[in-house]
Amino acid sequence: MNRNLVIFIILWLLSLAGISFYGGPVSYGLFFFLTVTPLISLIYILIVIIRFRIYQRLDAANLICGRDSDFYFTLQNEGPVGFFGVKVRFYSSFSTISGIDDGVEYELTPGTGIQKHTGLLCKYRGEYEVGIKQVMISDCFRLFTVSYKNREPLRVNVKPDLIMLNELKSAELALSTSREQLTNPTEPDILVREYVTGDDLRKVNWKATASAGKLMIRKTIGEEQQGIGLMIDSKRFSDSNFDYIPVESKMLETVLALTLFFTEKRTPITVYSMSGILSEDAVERGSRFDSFYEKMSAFAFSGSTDTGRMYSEILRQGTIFQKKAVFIVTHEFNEENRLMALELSSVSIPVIVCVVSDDPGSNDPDIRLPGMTLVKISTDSDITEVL
Amino acid sequence: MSGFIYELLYTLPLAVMIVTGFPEITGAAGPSEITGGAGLSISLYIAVILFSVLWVFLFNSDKKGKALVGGIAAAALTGLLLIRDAEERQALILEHAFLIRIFIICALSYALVRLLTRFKKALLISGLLLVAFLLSLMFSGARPEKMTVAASVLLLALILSEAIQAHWKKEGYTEARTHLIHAAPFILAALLSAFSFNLPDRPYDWKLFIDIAENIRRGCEDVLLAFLPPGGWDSDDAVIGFSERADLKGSIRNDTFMAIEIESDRATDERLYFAGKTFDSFNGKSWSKTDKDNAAYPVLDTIETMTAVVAYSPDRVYDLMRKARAFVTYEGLRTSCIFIPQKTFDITTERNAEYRGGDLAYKNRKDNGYSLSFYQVNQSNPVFRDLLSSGHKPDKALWEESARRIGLSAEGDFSYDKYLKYKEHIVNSYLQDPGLSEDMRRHMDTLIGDETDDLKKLELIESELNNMTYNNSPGAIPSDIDSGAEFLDYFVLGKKEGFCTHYATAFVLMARSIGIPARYVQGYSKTVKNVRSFPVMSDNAHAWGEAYIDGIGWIAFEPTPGYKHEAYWEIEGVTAEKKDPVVPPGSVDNGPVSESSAETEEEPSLSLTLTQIIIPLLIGLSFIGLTLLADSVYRKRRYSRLDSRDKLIHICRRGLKRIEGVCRKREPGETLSEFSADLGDEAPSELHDLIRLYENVSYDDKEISDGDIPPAEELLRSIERFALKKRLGSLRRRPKRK
Repeated sequence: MNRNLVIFIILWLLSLAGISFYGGPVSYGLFFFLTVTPLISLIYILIVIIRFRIYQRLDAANLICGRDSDFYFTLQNEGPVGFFGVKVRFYSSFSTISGIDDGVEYELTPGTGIQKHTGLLCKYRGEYEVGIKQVMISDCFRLFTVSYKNREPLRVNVKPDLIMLNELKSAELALSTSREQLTNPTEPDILVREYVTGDDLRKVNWKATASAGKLMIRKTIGEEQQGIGLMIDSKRFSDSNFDYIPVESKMLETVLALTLFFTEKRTPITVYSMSGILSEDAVERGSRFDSFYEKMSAFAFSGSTDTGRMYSEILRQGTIFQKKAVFIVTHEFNEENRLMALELSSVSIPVIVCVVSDDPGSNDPDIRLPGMTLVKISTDSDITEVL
Repeated sequence: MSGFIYELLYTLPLAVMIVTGFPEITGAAGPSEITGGAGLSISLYIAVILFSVLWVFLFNSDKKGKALVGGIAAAALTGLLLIRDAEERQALILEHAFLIRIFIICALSYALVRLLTRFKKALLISGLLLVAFLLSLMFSGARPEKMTVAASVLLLALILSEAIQAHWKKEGYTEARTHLIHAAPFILAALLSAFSFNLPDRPYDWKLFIDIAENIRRGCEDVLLAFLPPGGWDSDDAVIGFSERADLKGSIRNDTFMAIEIESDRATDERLYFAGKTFDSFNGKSWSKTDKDNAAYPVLDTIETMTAVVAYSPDRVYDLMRKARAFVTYEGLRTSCIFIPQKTFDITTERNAEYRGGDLAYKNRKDNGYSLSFYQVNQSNPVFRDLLSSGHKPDKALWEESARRIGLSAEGDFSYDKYLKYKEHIVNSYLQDPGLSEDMRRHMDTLIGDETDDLKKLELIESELNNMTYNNSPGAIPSDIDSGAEFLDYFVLGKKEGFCTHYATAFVLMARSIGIPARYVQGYSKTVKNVRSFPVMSDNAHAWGEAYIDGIGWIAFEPTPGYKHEAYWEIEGVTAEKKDPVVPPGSVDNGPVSESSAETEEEPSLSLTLTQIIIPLLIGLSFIGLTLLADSVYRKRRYSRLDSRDKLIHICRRGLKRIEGVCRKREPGETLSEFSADLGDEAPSELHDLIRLYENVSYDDKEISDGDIPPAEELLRSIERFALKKRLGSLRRRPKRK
């Protein structure tokens, strides 16, 4: 309870004592005045609620996560009375407003407005509300402060940030190990690979088979493994946007950063994702990356996505087996991800699982699968440091 | 404009406060002298408003405004001087001397406001002084005018609002004056709402809340009683309320509920007595009823009184006795007693009731109400009091005629013979001599003196008792008191304080001691003022004494201090000598004030001739014109003495001012270039040239020669023409709403 209200209540109680013991116009006058004043204050606040307008505007057509944009807002008094104390609070969970103090109160005479030019920084990719969240109104005696939600919030669609990775520390080891696994321990200059149903039995290299304990066939020239695979676990794991927006934003940032890294290195990368149906995007430099970026900006996670089904389809398709390495970007190292990683690492495909989560210590696998690297990325970490 | 409103907001209530709070200052002995008796008049408030506005306007206006005010003053003064007759002029001035005082008060108020608003600390101190002033009025019990208090509260609220604003960190349009102007409507709305309520003089009795609490408490008690074993509520206190017993308790306490509701066909202004039960024998501590007679006392009593009135004034019975009807509904009361006012003659529930010693009571209580006809008696009217002393005794013929007038048959229970027996019975039952002690005898002799008239003797007794003290808790009567005489010694010669049962007992015993039959009555008594329907609460239960005057009937007396209420209606054409009613201190009403037929003096009227109107008007206009001309000449001279640079700056400033008057004002912090750019095509090109010139003059050290002045003056003239056209154009067009 604010100080003025406390003082007012004390005065009102004293006026009650006044009318009980004294009577007369002074005591009754003060009592009635003190009784009526809060009602008038509340009526005033009602008028302000009805006639106060907020106009918000962003200069940029597209907002990109992590980048400042010009944000303008106008607090307008469209009523016939003065507004004595109006305070606005901004959304702060997913965005920040720079250059303005959240706690400033404004006074507006009838028909006037205050325009402010500030900077808006969106922290995450996604669709959410930014700008002015709440309005708080005080009367002229500061007895009451009524707050209400902004009736016309500014909703924006923020695109993910594009981060350039100079190196990929986390995947380097995996990628180098995979090259060793491809060589024949007995005849190093003959490249072999595991037998796959349908291969020509005449190509079986019996020495390598005896050594490895499983059927191994000679790799033919040209039969190079095709670039990098990247799978996105697009299941939305929570209904609360406070939970999923930061995680999904970081996941897409990771996906884009990895994709950009490999395309810059002229390494083909295929991105597997599921937004209803399985989608396979082979990304290269130039316009194909731009369209991929737009696609990822508009990418929709969904709670009904079945990650297991996605992985099954990918495996059934088989193109994943031709990859040099596979990245899995997920929010949780669950059983489905573990099985997929196992499946791939069993055919000597290095798997790098990037788990984007703020939950410390959870889902760390007890079993370190050979050929699998686990990278933990928190929502506020710098992926250039982590990856 | 904001300065004007701001200062007016403080000046007006301050002036109102002084004028209404100290009417002596305005020159009248009291408000009625100004208005003729109806409180402070509208004309006074109009004068205060006008003079306050005048002073504030004078100091907040530009030269034109000041010239206007001066012109009005000159016209008024000229008008006054044109009244040729010196006596007439003097009479006019004296008659309106209070206006001059109000004028001065408003001036002083304004001066004080100017001083206080300049120093914020002084304003706060004045706020504290106002609080002290209001509190001192309250504690001293003073009853100032409502407007005085309202004005003080308004000032206080304004000062408080300004103080809060000073400590409120905000951005935007935070200037103190603007803030107060916009806060003022809400403060005024609160003030008007608050002071539209009735502001009683008496402290609030919290009756409603006490009643609610009592009802809740009683409800809880009833619930508890249902579970508690019997006999758990023993108390020496009596509860205020009707009882069929008449014990004199040591104290009484409140237990309020609605007992009965009464609806009458006639609005009345009197203290009504509804008798429930009468008592005849007193043993020192309580009354009992030994009278078992079943005669219809109330009706016989009514006919007896009617005989006296008919004998006194046969054609003007209505002047002394008026027929009325009432409907009584039982609410929270559980009793077999039937409550009737004096001089009742027709009760609908008689068939279900019986007379027991003069009281009507239900045989079996089935009805929840009854209607009755009775006579309102003009008892306090001096004419009736003359009748009481007339010594009238009715004969049979008069008796029969009186019964007929009431609408009754003088046979059977209401026959003359019955009446004679009834009178005998009264003497036998209600005249027991209490047997006074020597001291009490001497006291009575001193009190009564040589008085022979029974009515006057009774009035003396009543008056003496009225002058004693009312006390709800006088303490229990000593256990050794077991007779009326001992009670009188204890109460009248000693204690002299108690509540209604004590006083009623004392009255009855004292009346009997001087040979007048009297009886102790318990029932309900309530003062009503011009209402037809009213609830009778349990705490309206009362005890009083009634004395029997032969030939007149039973007359109620009110010996309890603070309960006497004398109200009567005037008798047309009768100029009986009015006696001062015997009213003890604290009684409620002394009767209606008769309208006087005072003639009002013809007020002198002031007739104005055409000359007396035109000449002051001309003088006023001339004054304004001359003032403006003098100002213009002065400004031109000042301008001509300026050097070239200053002239140029002056020209530029004037041009800007003209444009600000018709386009918009420059915002704080807005540069001239920004202003010019923002106005764009809205302002003429000459203005943009002038602004460039202004900037050059302000920031450039270039030498300005006399030759630079004429082009600048030409620019200014163009701007002034533009401003004038725009003003005239806006007057012709309807203003657009934003």
